[in-house]
Amino acid sequence: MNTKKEEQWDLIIKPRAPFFSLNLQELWQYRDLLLLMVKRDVTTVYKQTVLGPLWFFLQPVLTTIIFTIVFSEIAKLPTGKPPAVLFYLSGLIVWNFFSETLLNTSKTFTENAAVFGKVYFPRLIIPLAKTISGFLKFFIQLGLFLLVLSFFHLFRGLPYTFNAALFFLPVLFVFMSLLGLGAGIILSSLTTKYRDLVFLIAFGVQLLMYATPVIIPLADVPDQYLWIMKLNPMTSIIETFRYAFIDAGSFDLLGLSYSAGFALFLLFLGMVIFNRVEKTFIDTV
Amino acid sequence: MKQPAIIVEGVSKVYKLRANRNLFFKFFANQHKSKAPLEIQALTDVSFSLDQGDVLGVIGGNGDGKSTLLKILSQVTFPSAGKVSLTGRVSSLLEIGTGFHSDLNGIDNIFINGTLLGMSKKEVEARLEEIVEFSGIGDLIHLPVKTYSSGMTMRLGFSVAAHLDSEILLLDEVFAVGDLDFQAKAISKIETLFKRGKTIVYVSHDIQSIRRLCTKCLILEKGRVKRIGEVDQIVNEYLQNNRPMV
Repeated sequence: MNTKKEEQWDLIIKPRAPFFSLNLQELWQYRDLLLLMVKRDVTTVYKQTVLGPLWFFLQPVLTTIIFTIVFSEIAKLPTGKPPAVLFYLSGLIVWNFFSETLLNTSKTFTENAAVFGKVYFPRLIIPLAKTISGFLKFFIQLGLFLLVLSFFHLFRGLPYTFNAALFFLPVLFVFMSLLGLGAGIILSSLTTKYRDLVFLIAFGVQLLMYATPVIIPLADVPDQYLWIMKLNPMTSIIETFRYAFIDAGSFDLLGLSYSAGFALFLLFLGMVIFNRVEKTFIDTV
Repeated sequence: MKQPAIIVEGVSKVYKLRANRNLFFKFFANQHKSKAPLEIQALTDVSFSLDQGDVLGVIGGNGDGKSTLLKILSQVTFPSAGKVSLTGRVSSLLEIGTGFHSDLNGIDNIFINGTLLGMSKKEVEARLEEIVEFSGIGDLIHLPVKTYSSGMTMRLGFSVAAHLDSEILLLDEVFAVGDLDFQAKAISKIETLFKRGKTIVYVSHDIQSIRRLCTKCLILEKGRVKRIGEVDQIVNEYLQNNRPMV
């Protein structure tokens, strides 16, 4: 009966998943699905809303205004050399991208249980699509930031301070995406077992923002708390982003390497756990 | 010489149930009294093989493991023991219209549903006209799916599914959709699919459709293979043993 060798079959289904498997060939086969999912995520988010895609801008703009009034005007917290508006806006768009990627990808299993129970496709497509659509949103917000930045350059006499750190931006983008994706898929896998995490993640991410320089420049953080900030892998990414555009923040290769290492570690760990859970998840819903 | 397309060897499936872990629940409920089992043995040592072009009908009562078998073949769930080997692209239809998004229009949903089922965007594009035509939805195809009646949604889902061109199809009773006209159209469409030399595993309670469409038949009983063989012989035996109560 079994005249074929294993290699001659297109697909072998066995009980145990390998410890680590990343089937890039299969992901590539489903690339069309990935693109359609990205398109779906982007086009349906603000459907049914009156303001539609304006929300891409409203959210960072309103938060920046509130932050500027509360933290800079009222609480008189320092923001370094650049205007407070630019300081907050730059930190917020980077942080929002990370936190939204994490939140969205962490819902991979809970939100797609119905589809996962009915059809097979590489499950990783879902968090990848969320990360990419989140990145598109970030890119649009980056455009907004550049607009505001050029306003300050042209009409408020803000000196031009672009520097070589700009070349690091693509690297920053890659690692902040990997951080959000990695953390998100770990959490998505854990939430299938511990539903409590759903509640924890939502406000945990909000709290985590205070362990980044989004509100307070790293240079103004007292020494005894500095290590907490530096432990957060998003810190050096936000710092470098500001350094590149607005002569704030800092450029710290060691910190960046730490973030890069952290991102790769999270991603690896995420793949291992995700890989396990995607095979058993449907049985434990 | 026929080539094997699917070989199932000693497949078993145990569903493990989790005890309620809510701290408060544990405190108040007396768990010793609970007699609920912690495991469900859905399949036990199932083995069979299909050649290319075989159409296998799977019958059995509720809870005898039909759906679990299909889910394992389609990689939605994994076996606890045993092995399945497959050749050719596999598409599984356990449900119609999987992944439909109510805010997107019919066309967008055809693309998402088709790629979910394993087609490439190009393949969907090539069949798009045919799919829309077959669904009979007409100009409404450009409106969001939430404006469709449930029957129309099902028809659209069926049309996408019926235009899949995979070598192996796994079907879970997907015929009863739409009004009578559409059902007749659907059945004849399925029949042409079945006769196109595809390898098909088809789960159904409808003995008549199994007799008409399938070449082989498998009876599952309490998760075990009770009988497998040529369709006429097996169906006759099955009907003799399970006379419908009138």
